[in-house]
Amino acid sequence: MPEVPYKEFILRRLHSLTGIVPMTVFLAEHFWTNSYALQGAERFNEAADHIRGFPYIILIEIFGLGLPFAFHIAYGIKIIYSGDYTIYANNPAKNWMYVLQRVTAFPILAFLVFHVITIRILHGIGDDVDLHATMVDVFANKFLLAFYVVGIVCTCFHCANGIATAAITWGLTVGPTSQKVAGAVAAGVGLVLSGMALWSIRGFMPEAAPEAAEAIEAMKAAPETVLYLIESLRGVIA
Amino acid sequence: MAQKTVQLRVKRQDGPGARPRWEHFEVPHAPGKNVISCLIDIARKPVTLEGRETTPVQWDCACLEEVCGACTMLVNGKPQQSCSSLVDNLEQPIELAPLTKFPVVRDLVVDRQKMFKNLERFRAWVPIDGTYPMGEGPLLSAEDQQVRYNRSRCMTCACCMEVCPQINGRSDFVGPAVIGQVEFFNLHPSGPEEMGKRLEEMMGTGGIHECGNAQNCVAACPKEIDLTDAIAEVGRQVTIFAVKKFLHSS
Amino acid sequence: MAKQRIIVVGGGLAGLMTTIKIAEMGVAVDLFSIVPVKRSHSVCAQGGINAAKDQQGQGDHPDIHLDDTIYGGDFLANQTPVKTMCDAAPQIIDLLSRMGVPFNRTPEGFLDFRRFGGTLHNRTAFAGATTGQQLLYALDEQVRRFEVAGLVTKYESWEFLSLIRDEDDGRVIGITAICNPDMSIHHFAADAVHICTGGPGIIFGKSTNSYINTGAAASRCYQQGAAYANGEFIQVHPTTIPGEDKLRLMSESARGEGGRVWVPKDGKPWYFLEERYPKYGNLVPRDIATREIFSVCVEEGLGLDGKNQVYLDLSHLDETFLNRRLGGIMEIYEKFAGDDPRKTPMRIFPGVHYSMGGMWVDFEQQTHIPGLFAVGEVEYQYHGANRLGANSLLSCIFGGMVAGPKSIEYINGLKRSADDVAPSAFAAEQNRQIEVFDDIYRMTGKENPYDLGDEMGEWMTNNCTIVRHNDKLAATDEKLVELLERWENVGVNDASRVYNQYVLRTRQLKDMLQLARVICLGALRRDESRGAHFKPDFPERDDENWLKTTMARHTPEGPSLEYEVVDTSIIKPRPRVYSKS
Ligand SMILES: Cc1cc2nc3c(=O)[nH]c(=O)nc-3n(C[C@H](O)[C@H](O)[C@H](O)COP(=O)(O)OP(=O)(O)OC[C@H]3O[C@@H](n4cnc5c(N)ncnc54)[C@H](O)[C@@H]3O)c2cc1C
Repeated sequence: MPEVPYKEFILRRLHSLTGIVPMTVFLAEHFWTNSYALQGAERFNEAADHIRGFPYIILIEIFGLGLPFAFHIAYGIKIIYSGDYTIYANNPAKNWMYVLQRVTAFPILAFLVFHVITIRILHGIGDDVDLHATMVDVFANKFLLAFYVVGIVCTCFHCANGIATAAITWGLTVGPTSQKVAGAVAAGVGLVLSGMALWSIRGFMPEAAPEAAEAIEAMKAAPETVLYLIESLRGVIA
Repeated sequence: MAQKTVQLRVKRQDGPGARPRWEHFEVPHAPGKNVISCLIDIARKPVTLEGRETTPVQWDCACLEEVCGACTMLVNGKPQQSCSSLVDNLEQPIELAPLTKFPVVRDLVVDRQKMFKNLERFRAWVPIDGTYPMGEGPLLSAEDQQVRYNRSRCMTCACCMEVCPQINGRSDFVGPAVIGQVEFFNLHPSGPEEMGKRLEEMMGTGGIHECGNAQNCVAACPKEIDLTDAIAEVGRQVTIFAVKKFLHSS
Repeated sequence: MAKQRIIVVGGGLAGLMTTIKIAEMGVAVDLFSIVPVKRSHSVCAQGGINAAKDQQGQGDHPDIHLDDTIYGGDFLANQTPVKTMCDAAPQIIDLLSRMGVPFNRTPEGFLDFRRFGGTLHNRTAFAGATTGQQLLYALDEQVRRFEVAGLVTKYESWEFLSLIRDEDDGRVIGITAICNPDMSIHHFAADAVHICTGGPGIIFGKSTNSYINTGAAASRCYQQGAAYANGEFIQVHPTTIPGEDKLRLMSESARGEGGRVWVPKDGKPWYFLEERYPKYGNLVPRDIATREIFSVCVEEGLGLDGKNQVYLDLSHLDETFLNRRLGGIMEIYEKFAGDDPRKTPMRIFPGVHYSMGGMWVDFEQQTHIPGLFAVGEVEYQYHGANRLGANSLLSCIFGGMVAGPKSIEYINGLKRSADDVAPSAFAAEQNRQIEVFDDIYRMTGKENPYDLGDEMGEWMTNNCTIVRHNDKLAATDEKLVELLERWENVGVNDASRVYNQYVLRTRQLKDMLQLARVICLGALRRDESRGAHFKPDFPERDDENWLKTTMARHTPEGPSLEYEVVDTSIIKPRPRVYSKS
């Protein structure tokens, strides 16, 4: 096979691109749709059906989402493998971002696979699916709920940090000031996304109050779960 | 708080491939003393704290005022020049170890030739026509001079390489230092001639795309070179170059 | 004749410029350096490089540059080569600027110039306060270009050990060198050899020089027959920060940009240089400033807190201005002395800095040994009895521009190439050097080279620097002889054949001691005061007897001194008085 010139460079930039364009756009769309659940099961199912009814949806899903993601994941693993995970005292914040970007990839991957298989493939195919009901069932399980929360938070962090570093990689933000501003904007995007996603979970809670309360308790535990994750990682690294 | 002595733990390695070991030394203290003076003291009397005779510790140094880059090592885990590492600012025992991203020659001496090879590879020079009188060089604004000067102070000391998580046995990243130099030369008014070649090379093996944006380099640079600015700027240049190249390619 | 090669030993400014010139003319160069050339001592140069480009409407001219240099050097320099150098200086600056040196600029984008010592003109181009580093890098980059083109081969971490000379006509046919990482000794053939190994500051123990500036290479050439000229002229720089391992320079440019030297006297700042030298003020030549500071501290007892220290004050100047023009040295002061010179006056004292003397060369940079050239601080030619600030970088680069082409001319005139010489000649010298090292490895005495070196340094600094007395000089030479004997008694406790600095230092020390004797005896013999050489017992310059170049030749009994007339064909010697306004 002939050597493709600049193969690594092109793959790396594609990795950046696939992270930004399909991922961020898709997340925004997905969380927006989820938020219909806050207006009731019907509105949500309507919205989901609307999306699922897009022309060419299967092609969009395979070529617009599936393949880019698959590539992003595969090449990402290579990147993760090629890094060092020492934290240097003189630059802890950025260094942690670098590490977290790579570390969050694993829960995200687990979550993504689980979510796609259980929801999109096992429950999402066919004419008369009630996705809302499915999700209510899922969230009734506290463990799954926590898993979802962690998955969402990690995804949003990975996405936001990815946006900030992509701006550097592509040469949009050159100096420290613009990088800081871009970082703040990206963090804002991450917060909005995760806020939207987490908030919309309320729309999937059964009416019965005690369970909803439990769910909210579980959500409160989420940041702690993330912190715990970081702490245990710190242990692994040190 | 004046101490009478200075204690050091030094990572020793007799030669390339030899098994490292640690030795503990104690040397007299003096105000303003730096790590190099301690190493000279050890060479005078190479006896460990336990009283065992050993060989003098080997290290590299030249200018002793932090402009040549030779004496870079890990001082209490941080890559820095040992000449400007003043004993009074360091926690004791002071731990000295060779840089980890380069092959060890002996003790604290490492082989950093690959950094010079990188400069070759990225054509880090201005392509002058010759050394004969050809009149003045190009005008340059005082502002551009300040940016160029900042990049030009790179002494190839390898602090940035040492803290870069993307430089290790599993990646062939060329590292931040040379990217700073590429920006430096691309900034020169006669840059365009070689700029394309430099950027093309930057897209090659271990090029700028291997940067992971951990930004440790800029924090570690003893000369406060804006390495991350340089990386982003070269990133931008490469982006534009690559797109143009693609659009023009036959 | 086989393909000819030229060897350049030393990759400071001098060695690199020589290399560039030779490679540019298509001849292959083998370049040797103890440290990677980019780490050569030239990186230390701070203040700038001189050229009378007269871009500030002051009516400067290369002839004035020449006069300042000759007058500043107290008429000891041969005038013809100095004139050529001063004439070439503006073009050298242009060349450096074309190579991309980030010189400071005027608002319009032209080169900026500042004032240095011993002149009334703004003549010094500069890149912040790290000019030497910037120049070295620019030349290093050009050499790298030739390296990629296959014309230059670098031997970094190699130390030059000896010359190989043709048995018949004595010309140089190669060198031997040791490869530090494995301590193996090799020979290299060449038709011409350039020695560009810099100054000998470490002979004085603490100086502003780099740790590698032992002068050992020059000493080795001297011991093999090259003459060493004007060794007694050692520049002591007025403003250095005292340190444990090194005296760190605070460049003359600090005064060039407005820095003032003072001590408190009767409760008020006393600007003694400004008072005594109203015209030149703080920018009198270094030998004079040094003696004034010395006398204020030592004779008048006015040093700060009773110590040998005076203030060098920048604190009245604007911070942005200081950062742009002197950033490098302020960083050094902050890091090593711990205070911010933008806010508090710096504490400084004179320290050994530069050797005006060096290997004797003719106007084509060639030594007495055919085919052996010397360039840079290692030779004696451009600075007479006292060097003006910012003239050294110039002389290094200019010397290289002369020596490179001249060495090619020389090899083109040769009838036989080094490659035609029987290989046994090379092997013999190589074996001799291997034996020297084997002997060192076998030494089992009680001395160590670092303590002996310190002792040499103390004696030399105490007796052979600012103020010199014949009895003390004589005692110093005796001491040096004693140290040479004690050297035999060094114990080598490290048998390693990997990067063995202890063994290398032991070898260097012996050569340093030999060179120290040249410096010391040259000073002892010269009964006058001229430039940096000051004897209170002979306080006047004595042109009748001493307007001549000292030339030391090595003999087994020690240096033998000869003298040579000085070329004063352009400017008639006149009294050197900076105090008149
Ligand atoms: C702190 C300081 C500031 C200065 N500032 C200025 C200034 O502002 N302006 C100015 O004009 N001058 C200045 N000078 C003087 C000037 O820097 C030096 O005189 C000049 O750089 C010497 O250059 P060089 O090429 O001769 O030697 P160096 O730069 O000393 O290079 C010597 C080379 O020889 C090599 N070498 C030595 N021995 C051997 C050996 N045995 N075998 C192989 N290689 C060997 C070394 O590795 C090195 O590459 C300053 C000097 C100092 C100390």
